[in-house]
Amino acid sequence: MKHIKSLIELSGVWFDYHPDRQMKEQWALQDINLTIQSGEYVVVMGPNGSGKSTFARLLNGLLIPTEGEVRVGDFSTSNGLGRFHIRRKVGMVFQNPDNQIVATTVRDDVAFGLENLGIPREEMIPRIERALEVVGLVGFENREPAHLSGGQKQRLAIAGVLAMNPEIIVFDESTSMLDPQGREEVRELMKELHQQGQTVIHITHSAQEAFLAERVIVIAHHRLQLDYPSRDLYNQSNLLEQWGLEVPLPIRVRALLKNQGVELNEPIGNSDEMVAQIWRYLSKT
Amino acid sequence: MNSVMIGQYIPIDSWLHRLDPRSKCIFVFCMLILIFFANNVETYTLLLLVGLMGVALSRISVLLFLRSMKLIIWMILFTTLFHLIFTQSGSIVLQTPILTIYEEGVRQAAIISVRFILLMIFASLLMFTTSPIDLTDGLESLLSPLRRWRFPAHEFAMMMSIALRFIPTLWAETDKIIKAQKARGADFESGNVYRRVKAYIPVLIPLMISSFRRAEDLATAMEARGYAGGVGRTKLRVLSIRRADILLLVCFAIVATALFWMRK
Amino acid sequence: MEISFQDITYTYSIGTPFEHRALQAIQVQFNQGDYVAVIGKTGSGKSTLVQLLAGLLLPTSGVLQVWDTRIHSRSKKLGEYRKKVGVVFQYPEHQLFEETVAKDIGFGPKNLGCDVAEIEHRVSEAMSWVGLSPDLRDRSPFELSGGQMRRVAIAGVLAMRPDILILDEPTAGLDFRGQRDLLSILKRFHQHFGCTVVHVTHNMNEAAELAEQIVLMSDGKVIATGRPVDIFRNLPNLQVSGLDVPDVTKWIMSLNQKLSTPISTEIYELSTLVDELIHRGRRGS
Ligand SMILES: Nc1ncnc2c1ncn2[C@@H]1O[C@H](COP(=O)(O)OP(=O)(O)OP(=O)(O)O)[C@@H](O)[C@H]1O
Ligand SMILES: Nc1ncnc2c1ncn2[C@@H]1O[C@H](COP(=O)(O)OP(=O)(O)OP(=O)(O)O)[C@@H](O)[C@H]1O
Ligand SMILES: [Mg+2]
Ligand SMILES: [Mg+2]
Repeated sequence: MKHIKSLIELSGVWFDYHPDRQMKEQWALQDINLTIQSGEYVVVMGPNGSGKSTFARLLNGLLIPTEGEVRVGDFSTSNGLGRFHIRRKVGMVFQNPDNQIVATTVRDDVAFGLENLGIPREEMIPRIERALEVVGLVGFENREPAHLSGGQKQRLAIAGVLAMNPEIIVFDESTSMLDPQGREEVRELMKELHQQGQTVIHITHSAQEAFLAERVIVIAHHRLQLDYPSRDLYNQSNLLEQWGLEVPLPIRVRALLKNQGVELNEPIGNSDEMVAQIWRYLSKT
Repeated sequence: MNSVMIGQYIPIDSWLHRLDPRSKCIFVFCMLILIFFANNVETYTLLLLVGLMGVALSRISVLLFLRSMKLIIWMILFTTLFHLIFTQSGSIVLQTPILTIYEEGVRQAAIISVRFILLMIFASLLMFTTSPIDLTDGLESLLSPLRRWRFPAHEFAMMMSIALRFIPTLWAETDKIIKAQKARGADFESGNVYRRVKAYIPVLIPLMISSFRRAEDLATAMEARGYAGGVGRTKLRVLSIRRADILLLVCFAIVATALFWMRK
Repeated sequence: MEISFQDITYTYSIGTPFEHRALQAIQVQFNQGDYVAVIGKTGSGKSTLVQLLAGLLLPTSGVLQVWDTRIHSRSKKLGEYRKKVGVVFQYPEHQLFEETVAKDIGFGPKNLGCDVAEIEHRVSEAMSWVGLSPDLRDRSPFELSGGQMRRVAIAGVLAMRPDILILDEPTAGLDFRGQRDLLSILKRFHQHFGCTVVHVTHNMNEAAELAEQIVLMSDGKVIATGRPVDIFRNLPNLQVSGLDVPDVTKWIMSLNQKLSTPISTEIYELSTLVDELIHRGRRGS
């Protein structure tokens, strides 16, 4: 049998920002073992401070495991050459756009990554235009990033990574400052990237966004707590509550109904199925 | 903060904006040197005229130039005062019981002020009409012959551009901290000058801390976005010397010749 | 009306080529003691509007009348006014500046002229309001997780007991439990002190649940104000401005497509919805 190689592989990963000062039980990430295949669409959920952003930074070699190894493709983040190649494969949209914007105009900022990749100028220009169009920042090319609103900065951060067309894109809470339509656009964008075969990793607090992915991972108390295909998780998503995470609205409705003695037990896989079940309950009686 | 700060690029379109940053750098640099060769009313007037022509050609409002002058007005006043008080040669212009002003003092004060103003005009012309990125690209290209002697031209230019990029960041950061403190009742407006200056001290420490953090964030961001030094890097902006650039350098030659002819 | 924006315009960097008009002819009134939500698309001017109200920006033209203070383009000495207004900025982690958590929270009360004992009291009180454990007092605010920093920033403002409390997207980036906790803190604080709360949000659920009055902004203008039910009834208006109805409303709407007697879309609390469902279930039988 041919051995199928994973795109991303974390084996026995432990990490802390001050490993010498902290007891091992308090490290920011503990004993993470995980593989992600090429083309997967994965959501990472978890409470504040549980280690999600740390996880993201381990993937592109901004942080290096204190113990264990992170491999992306044929490279390991533990050596310099490996990191050089990995940074070209893994694009990351940071949690706070201010931490990511490098240049003094919107256009130059999107160009920055492309320049680093050594893309010829003729190819760069259409790629910049396309990326700005996708995030809806056409007309802002010459604006200074410092003069943009919170949500506009977040869009710019996304454009800078999109333009580089990386194999893997990590979105670290990239919709937190967007309006509902902007969120919808970014969700569509992730879907599109996924359909094009790119690997999408999305860190989010929103249940609605989580269940758009194929696979949901929960990191809590600095450990990997749960790793399910999303369609299997939906029906038992009450599980998420123990870590203070959002449970999809239909499942919450079902739980509240149960508290009042109304048990709806058919397993459901999405919101529509819950609507159907409620409707049956209302018409049956 | 609504004012345009010192050295900020003003993105409009003009003849000066369209020039190659390299020729502008050379031109301004040489003009700055010329300033020190001027030594009489005629030569200073010539340089002032050239500066004013530059201002006109840049199509940037004179107000903005005046605003950037505001920053050096203290320096001018201070050195003027210094010369008026301490230069004691030539004939006496004014005698009061506490202070005697000599002719040479007045002359020196005038020269220094004019030089400061000229310096500021030419420096602002360069900064206002050249985006920081063009500026550093231009410098990198000008310095690249030095690479033969192991001069790190790319790294030098990158450092420059980061420094330039940091000005708006620091500005925004200062703004943020002041706003945060004002919002929580800190008073920057009332009381005498001493009290007002003192109110700014609590701003400085967090500003320093946060600038270090910002610098670190920036380094991380550059790394994350694939920056790994100048090798194999391409550029969005291309530099090209055109007819206008040659014209500019010819202009410089004419000014320089005229100046040397007119000086004493 | 105690707080009124009278024909206010605000332009950033006026008189320079960066000139950008962020607000145009704003006319809005609030009552003292109202809970007001400000919603609108990215870049529509929400943050600018609240910074005017906080006395941190001065209107380019027009007058902002708050109680007996008139704020206009040449207003000076707003120090006293600002002491009565507390703001939690967008990305409030940038708002922290002191060495320890306790000092940071005490900064406002100190400026108000409180004595040491009073400062101490207010700091402890504010920390318990936002659920920060007392052993964090002497930690540096920069060594906390995102969610904890947010709480410190909020505590620092609550400790001033402002008459007007302004929050610019306070729940963005908090985990679900953190969001719920914060909303209940705000609700309690509002009821307890009777202060005016102005809450900028992208989250329609929050706006629907908490607000007594909603201000809907688009392109630097206020395009509608009213009670939540009035605002969320007008779907086209919302969609034009990049917004949506709350999740509960959306879900009720999909349920209503199947029901002969629709459920009221003016229900925003899940428990109310569940009661309604159970009521209908029983009535049917
Ligand atoms: N630069 C740092 N130095 C020291 N400790 C840090 C640093 N950044 C994060 N931590 C700590 O590491 C842990 C994990 O933080 P991380 O930022 O990964 O959390 P997160 O899951 O992304 O949380 P959030 O949802 O708030 O973004 C936290 O306990 C935090 O306090
Ligand atoms: N310092 C500034 N200089 C110039 N223009 C600015 C500045 N700050 C904001 N703007 C512009 O003013 C407009 C309104 O900005 P504001 O920050 O009020 O929007 P917002 O509604 O809070 O958006 P978001 O939801 O994204 O935070 C935006 O188009 C923005 O680009
Ligand atoms: Mg994070
Ligand atoms: Mg805003």
